[in-house]
Amino acid sequence: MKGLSTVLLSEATPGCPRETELVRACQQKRLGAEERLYKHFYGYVMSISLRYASGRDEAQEITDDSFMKAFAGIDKFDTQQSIKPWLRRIVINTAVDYHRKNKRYQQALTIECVSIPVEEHSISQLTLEEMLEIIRQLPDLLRITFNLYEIEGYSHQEIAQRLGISESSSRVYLTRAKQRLRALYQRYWGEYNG
Amino acid sequence: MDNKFDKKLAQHLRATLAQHQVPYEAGAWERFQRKRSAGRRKRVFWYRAAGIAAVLLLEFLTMLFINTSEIKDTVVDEISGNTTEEAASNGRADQATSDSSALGIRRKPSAQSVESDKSDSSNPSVTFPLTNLPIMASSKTGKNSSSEKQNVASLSDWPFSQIMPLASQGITLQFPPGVPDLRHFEHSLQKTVRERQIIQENSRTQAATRTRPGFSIGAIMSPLLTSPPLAAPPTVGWSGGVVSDFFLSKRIALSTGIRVANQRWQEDVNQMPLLISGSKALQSSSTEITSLNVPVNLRYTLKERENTAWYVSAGVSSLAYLNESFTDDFLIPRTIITYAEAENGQVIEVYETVQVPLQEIEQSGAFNQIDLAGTLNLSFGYGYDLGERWHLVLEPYYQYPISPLTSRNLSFSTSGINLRLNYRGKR
Repeated sequence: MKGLSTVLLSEATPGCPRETELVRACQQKRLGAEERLYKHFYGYVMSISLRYASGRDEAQEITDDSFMKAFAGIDKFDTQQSIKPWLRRIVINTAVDYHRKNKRYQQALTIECVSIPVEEHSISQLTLEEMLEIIRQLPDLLRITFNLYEIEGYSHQEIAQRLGISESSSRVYLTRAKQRLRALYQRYWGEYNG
Repeated sequence: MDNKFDKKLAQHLRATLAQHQVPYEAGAWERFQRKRSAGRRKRVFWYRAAGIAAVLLLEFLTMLFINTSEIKDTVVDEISGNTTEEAASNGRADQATSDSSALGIRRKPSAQSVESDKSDSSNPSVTFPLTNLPIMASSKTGKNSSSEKQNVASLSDWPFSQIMPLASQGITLQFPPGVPDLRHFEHSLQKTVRERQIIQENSRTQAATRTRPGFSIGAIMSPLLTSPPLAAPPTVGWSGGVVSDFFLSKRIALSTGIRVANQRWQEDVNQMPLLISGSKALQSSSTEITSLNVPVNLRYTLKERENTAWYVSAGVSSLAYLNESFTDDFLIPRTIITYAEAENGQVIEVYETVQVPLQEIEQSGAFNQIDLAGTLNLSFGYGYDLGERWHLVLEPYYQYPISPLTSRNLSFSTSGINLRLNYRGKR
C-alpha cells in the first residue's frame, strides 16, 4: 500500500520526473507517448479552457487546439523547465486567439453598469461549479480580461497587447466584468436563497 | 463595499480555481486524434498539390532542355558526316582527310578548354584554334599577324565569318596545324555552311513535331527493408507486381504500375507500468501491412549505350491497404486482495498490485485506408538488354513517407532493390 501511495503522489506533483519523462518520450517520438501526455494533462488544460470558454464544447475545442500546438512545439521545449507554465501559456494564447478569430468581442459593449449590494460572507460558500457557471455567463471579452488580470496576474499593458485593445479599454472591461459578476452573483444567490 | 466584495470574490476564485482539475473524459484522446488527422490531411493535400506541380514543372523544363540538346546533337552529327564526305570528295583536301582531325566540326569544347584559350573573352569567334589564326588572318587580310588580338579581331572580315552562327550554337571548326593554305577550303566550307543551315532548319521542324511513341511493360519483384517508426531494426519484406513505362521523349519516361507489398515489423516500447487503475503500459507493438502500391514516377535515362543504360527516377506512390494488423502487448495493473489470519485471530486483508499482460489486436479491412501520394520515391537503375525487346533492370530504391501512413498514421520508410524484366513495345 505504501508503494502505491508513493507512485500516485509523484504522479500528481507538478514538474515531477514523471512529467519530464513524458515530455522526453514525446520528443523522442515514442509510440503512445503523446497519448499518455494528453491524458495526463487533459484535466489541467481543460480546467483552464473552461474558465475562458462560454461552454464545454468551446472549452474542448480550445483544449484540443492547445494540445495540437503543444505537440507541434514540444521538440523545442526545454525539459529542465516545468511543463505546466508552458502549457498554461499555450492554452491562454489559444483561448485569446479563438475568441479573436470568432470576433465575438462586440457583445461586451452591450453590458449595462449595475451596482448591487451583496453579502460578502456568502462568497466563500460558492462551489467551484457555481463559480464557473457565473464566469461563463460573462461576455467573452469581459471574461478573458477578468481571467487574465485576476487569475493569471497579467498587467493591463500585457492584456492590451494580447487582445489588441488599449490599456484604458482593458481597465474599463475589468471594471465592467466585476460589476457584471456582482450582478450575476446577486441574481444567483437570490435565486439560491429564494 | 463593492471593492471589498470584488477583492474577496477574486481571491476566492483564485484559490478555488488553482486546485481545479477536470477528470479525464473517456474518448477525448480518440476525438483529438480524429481532429488532428483531419487537419493533417488538409495540410498534406496542399503539400502534395505543390509537390506534384513542382514535379510537372521540372518535367516540362527537363523536356525542354532535352529537346534543345537533341536538336544540337542531330545537327552536329549530320554536319560531321557531311563535312567528312565533302572533304573526301575534294581532291585538294587529301591531306586534311587523311587525318581524322584534319577538317572536322566538333561540339564546342568544354569550359576548361575554352578557358585555356586566352583570347576567348575578347571575341566569341576564338573557338578556332589559336595556332591557326595567323594563317587564317594573313591569308585574307594580309595584315601583320604579329599580334594574336589583332588577328582575332580581323576574323570578322574574313569570308568564313559566315560560319560564325554555327560557332555560337556550340559548333566549332577545327583546322589542322598542317593545312598550308586555307583558301583551298573556302568554297567547300561555304557550301557546307549553307547545307548545315538547311539541315538545321529541317531538324528544328522535325524536333518540334517529334514524338517518341513507345512503351514497355514488365514484371517487377523486390525484396524490401522496412524501417519502422521507432529505432527498431529494419525488417525484411517483399513486393511484386507489374510496371509499365511510357516514353515521353528519348530520355524521359513516365513509369507507373501496381504492386503488392507485404511488410511487418515489431517495436519494443517498454513503457513504465503505472499502478493507477485502468492504465495500460504498452510493451511492444507488432504491425503487419499488405498494401497496393501505385507509383507514378518520372524516369530519366542518364546514359544509354548499345546494350546498357543508367536511369534515375523520382515520383510519388499512392498506397491502398489490403490488410492492416496491429498487435499491441500491454501490462495492466491488477490489485489482488489476500485474506490472512493474524496471530490474534483477526482476519487481515493484504493488497498486492501485479502487472498482468494484455494483448489487443486491431485489424482493418481492405481499402479501409488510402494514402494518396503517401510516399516520395527515389531510385537509381541499371538496365541491360537481353535481346531486341527484353530489358532487365536492377534498381535500388527508397520510399520516404511524405505523410502519415496507414490508419494509425505511422511514418515508416521502405528501401529495396527492384528486379524488373521489361518488354519493349514500338519506339
